Amino acid sequence: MNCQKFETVVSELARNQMMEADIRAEALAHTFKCSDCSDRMRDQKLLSSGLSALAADMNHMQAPPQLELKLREAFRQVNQVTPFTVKKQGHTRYWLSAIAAMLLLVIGLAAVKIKVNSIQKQVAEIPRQAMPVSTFGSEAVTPIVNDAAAQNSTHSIEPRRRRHDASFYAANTRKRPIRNDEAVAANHAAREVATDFMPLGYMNAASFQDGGQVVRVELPRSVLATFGIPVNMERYNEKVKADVLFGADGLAHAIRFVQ
Amino acid sequence: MRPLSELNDAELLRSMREGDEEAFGALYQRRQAGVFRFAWQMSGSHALAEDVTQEVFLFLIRDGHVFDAEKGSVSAFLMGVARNYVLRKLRGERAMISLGDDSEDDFSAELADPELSPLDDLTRTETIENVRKAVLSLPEKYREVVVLCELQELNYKETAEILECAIGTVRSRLHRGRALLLEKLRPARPETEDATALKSAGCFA
Repeated sequence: MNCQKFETVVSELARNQMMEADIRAEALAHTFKCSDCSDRMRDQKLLSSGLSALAADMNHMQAPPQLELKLREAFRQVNQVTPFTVKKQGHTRYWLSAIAAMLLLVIGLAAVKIKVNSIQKQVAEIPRQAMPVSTFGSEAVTPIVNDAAAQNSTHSIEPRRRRHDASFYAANTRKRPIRNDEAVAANHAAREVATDFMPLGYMNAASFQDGGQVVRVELPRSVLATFGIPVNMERYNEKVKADVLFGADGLAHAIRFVQ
Repeated sequence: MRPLSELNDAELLRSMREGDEEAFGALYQRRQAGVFRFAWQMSGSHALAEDVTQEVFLFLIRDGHVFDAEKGSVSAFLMGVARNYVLRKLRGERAMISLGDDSEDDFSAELADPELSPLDDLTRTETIENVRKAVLSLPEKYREVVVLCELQELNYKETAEILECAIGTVRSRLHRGRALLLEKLRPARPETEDATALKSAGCFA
């Protein structure tokens, strides 16, 4: 081993680091031959002992005790704030969601109730209008319309005004036993929704004094447009049901559309 | 449940992150001295070492999740964080530490006793201070290796983890750092360059 090679290993040799046994033996042997390298080795060992003394001198050093208190306080703050914030946000979001859901539910229920009420009203009116039509459509009846027309001096027939005249309807229906087909027709009628009767040209109450007849017909949907009713263009080619009110004179006096 | 003293650093860190203050306390007690000493040995400033220790553990409290056990130990992680804080502070507050030629001359003059070589008496209390100053006067990249390997007594692998460099780099920097320390501590010798060259030439024979 020469001085250059010794120079590369001297610090590790002085620090007693692990190295190959051959290299260690050669390096130690070199210190006996070369006084300069021997001095280097001695300096390195002294440096190591000096550094060890410095390390030992500083070994007792540690952070001041109050630092731990500060850090523990910081730890508590961080670990209190985080869950609290999360919890608060979670609760706020939860309650907001719950309130929103409740509002939606209430609004939805109200809308459904309004819709059901309106349908029930319509359904309650339909039997008075439709049942005689369905059940007695082919018979010569004294339809509600006829009676209404007699009471009203207006040209439009408004069956709704017959509500107060339920006794008349009840009396009529009570007179005869209700047959199965009548019940089916009544159920069917109860599911139907109809427009008001719309006059077809000039009409007066006298036309109905001798009775009238309501006939269910199917018409092209385009007829709706004639009466100013909006037409669903997707169902333009489909038929639409209608009740046509014929007077005793055989003329069609009014029409209503049924769905 | 196992007592905290039986848990390793990674387990303490996990418990700490789950909100266990006592686990944090145990981890702090176990590692604060090393961090504090490293910061002090690197900076020579008690106040800076205290600040760095505080910031290291605050970082652990707030961002402990960034620790990756696959990259190294908790100790190495803490020392790496401490190193970053120390270097940042040293670069920002360089005026606090008197480095450079002036300080080097000061303690070299103290060591330059013709009757008694300071290297012969390094274990003496007064020369410990000179070694400390010599260490502080080293360039940062050598100083941190000397501090970690010599003063913190970490092995090359641990030091390499902290410095995020290769073991060979640690070895070569330590070698160079020790050589620089010797130069700083060695008194001016009345040797001419020619005489030195002759001695070296003899060794190559």
